[in-house]
Amino acid sequence: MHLHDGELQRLLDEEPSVNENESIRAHVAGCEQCSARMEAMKLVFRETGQLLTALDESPPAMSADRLIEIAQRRHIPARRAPRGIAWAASVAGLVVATIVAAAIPGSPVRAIVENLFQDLGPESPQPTAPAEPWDAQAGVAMTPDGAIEVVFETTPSGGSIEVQLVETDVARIEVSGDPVGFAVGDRSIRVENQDATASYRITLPENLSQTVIRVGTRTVFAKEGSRVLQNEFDRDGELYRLAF
Amino acid sequence: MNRNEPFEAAFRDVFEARFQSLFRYVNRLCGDSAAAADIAQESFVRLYQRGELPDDPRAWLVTVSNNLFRDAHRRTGRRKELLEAKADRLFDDAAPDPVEQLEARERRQRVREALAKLPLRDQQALLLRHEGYTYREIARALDYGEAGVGKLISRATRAFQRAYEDLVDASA
Repeated sequence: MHLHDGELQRLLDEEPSVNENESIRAHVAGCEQCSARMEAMKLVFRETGQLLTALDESPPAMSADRLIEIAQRRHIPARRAPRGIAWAASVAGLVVATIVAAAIPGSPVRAIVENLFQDLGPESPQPTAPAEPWDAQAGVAMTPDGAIEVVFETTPSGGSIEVQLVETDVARIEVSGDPVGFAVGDRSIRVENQDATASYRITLPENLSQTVIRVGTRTVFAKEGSRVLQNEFDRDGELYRLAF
Repeated sequence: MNRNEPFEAAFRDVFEARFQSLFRYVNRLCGDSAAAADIAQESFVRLYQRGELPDDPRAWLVTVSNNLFRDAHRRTGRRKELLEAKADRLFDDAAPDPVEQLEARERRQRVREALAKLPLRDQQALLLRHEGYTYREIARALDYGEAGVGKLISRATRAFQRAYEDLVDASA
């Protein structure tokens, strides 16, 4: 009675439960057919291992410290107040402080407030509303080597991504919102945005051979030459926009 | 978060010993290096958040990775998978010789296709074995009887080789 493939495989893999069984070892040693099958399986297993290496790619640059930092950031109980709320709170605080200070006779703040109201006569020009600001807190720029892959580590919980493909050699990402990190390669920018809520403005060269944008595990944009293979952005002329 | 120093030291040791292997396993399984990086990193983040090491960190990490992979696979769906596989090819490491580059790309594509012909559990068992996992770890990670792992691996190896050879013959 010959051994079945599972038993031979176990012996091949030196699994203790089989290796301890001397009778199976003895059988293989004395059975030409099982011995030949086992040699053949060993060869195929080795070839398979070599073939699988064709799939291998360089692992990402990652450290235990960085992972600990990510894990700890996730446990911060109170997230920073949204920027709009924080700004409104600051303005309200300033107004209250000014009113209190202006109410004190003889205080320098009172004098400034009186002068301000004198200047604001009927002919005073109305202040114009400022243009919507793009408050970039961080950014990165690089010259890609023929192709570019932009990877966001995780899907943002808010904000948006705007992409413009223009005639330039430089790829640029500007960020407004929570701080994020960047890892830049010859043909890639990795945005380390774990737990960050931010908006991104991306400018990419339009004439690259390949352009890919990934968000987490999703490919949201892929272009080969002038041919768009994948696009999850809303397009408005030359501007691509993806909201979260 | 308060972590004791022995735990952090042990976590770092596990990271140094296992991260590259876990990334390689997931990358071979999903064929998308960016997704594999996300999954491997997330698995380690969860290990840290656990606050203590499990009895078998290797099996624990690969179980978490398998779950994350399954969830990601379910979300993205087949259409995206195909597209990503195509997009991924765009970023192969540049080989100096265009012929070599082409051959490497074709071989990679065949290996990927041959692997994809196997049921997921067979793929996982095969890949885990080639990462040096023991039968006990494979059984635990795949929720499979340890006694059947040898048979599972031999079946997967045979099926993979057959599928690969068919693809080579078809392209000849």
